[in-house]
Amino acid sequence: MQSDNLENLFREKVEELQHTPPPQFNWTPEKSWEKLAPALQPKPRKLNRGFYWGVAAGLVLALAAGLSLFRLSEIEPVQTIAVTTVPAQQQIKPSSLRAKLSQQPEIPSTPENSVIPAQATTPTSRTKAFVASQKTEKTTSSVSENAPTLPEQQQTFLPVPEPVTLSATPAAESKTSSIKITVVLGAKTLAQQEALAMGATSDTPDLQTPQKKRKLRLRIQKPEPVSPDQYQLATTKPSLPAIGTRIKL
Amino acid sequence: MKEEQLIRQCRQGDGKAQKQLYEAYATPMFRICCRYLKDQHEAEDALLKGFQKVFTNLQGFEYRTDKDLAGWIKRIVVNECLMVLRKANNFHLSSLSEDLPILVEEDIYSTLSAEDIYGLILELPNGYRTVFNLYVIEGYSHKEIAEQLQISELTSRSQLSKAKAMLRNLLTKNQLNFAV
Repeated sequence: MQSDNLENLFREKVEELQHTPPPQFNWTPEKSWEKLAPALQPKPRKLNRGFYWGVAAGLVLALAAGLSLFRLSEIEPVQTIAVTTVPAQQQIKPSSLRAKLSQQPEIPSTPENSVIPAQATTPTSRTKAFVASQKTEKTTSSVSENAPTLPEQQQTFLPVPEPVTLSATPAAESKTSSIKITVVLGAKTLAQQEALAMGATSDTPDLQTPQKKRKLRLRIQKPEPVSPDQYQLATTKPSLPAIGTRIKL
Repeated sequence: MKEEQLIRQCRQGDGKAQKQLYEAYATPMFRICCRYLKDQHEAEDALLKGFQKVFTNLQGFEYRTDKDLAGWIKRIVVNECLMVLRKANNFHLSSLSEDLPILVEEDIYSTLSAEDIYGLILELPNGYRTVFNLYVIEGYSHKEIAEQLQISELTSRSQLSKAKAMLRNLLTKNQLNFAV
């Protein structure tokens, strides 16, 4: 028998057996079907909820971070502005203000009248406002000038300052706001400088001024321009002069 | 029920139709699995995986004749068996040897039962048996066997030759006085 015949023999014999299970195996189609049937049932589609929750949480966090960064970039340092409604009690006209300023009594030129003992006659506010400084080379960021004091009264008396007139035009309705300006006066007064120029030495008793720090503090009432409507809101925020501005005293 | 209608119902997910199709082909396919894998559990696993693929890919099957469906299922099951063998990597490969002439006496041949022939095939080593099954029983060419098993055609021929020689020896041992 040729090789092809043998192959046909094996093929035919095997095909005869195909409808019967192998006798040595205890296999039945029913048992296998019980294992196969659950795998063939359509599985419910699994929703990957964890993934979607993660994506949602990430989006929320990203939005929150973006909003906070956007707000932080937009926020500028805000100054609190107190807003008050103050009805004007009295209408001040520029003409009346000038008249008041011109009516102030002039300081007499005599030493007795011009110099008032600081502790006896000067009010406390005034003594605080004007303190002469003897310290040399004392400068601050504010305007400094030599204090015009008289040599005879230097140790015990403080000179009364001349009234300060500001060139600012008063508003029709004004609400004042105080500006504190500190003026450091020079250590040597005009009298001292004149005496030194004449040849006197610093040992002269008249020229021995107390080594006390002198400061001149002026409280300037600066009118704030307000709307003519007296019941309209006005801000109390003072507009301070810029540093280095020279104020004429 | 005609197979065409059965296939249509299986495509719609009808459990009864699936069971009917399975029962029609389970036993012959299990026979095929046992011929390749010998072990019952491995054969059953391959059968179940094969039928799972059959029902999953039934949408893409184009029905023409009843033989087409049987051949399609058989190919899937054989492929599953080959995958198991490839994973185990237990092919017994050898070099090409001289193809011995097979001589069978016709009167003795007629005395062989199908189970005897089947038993002789199962005694072959994995490599020989796989090539013999693919070439002789399933009708694959050496080129196809080489592609399936990822071996050369020469190796496939060698395996077949050695399988036949071994079958002859087995027949001699069993005192079946005919040459293979």
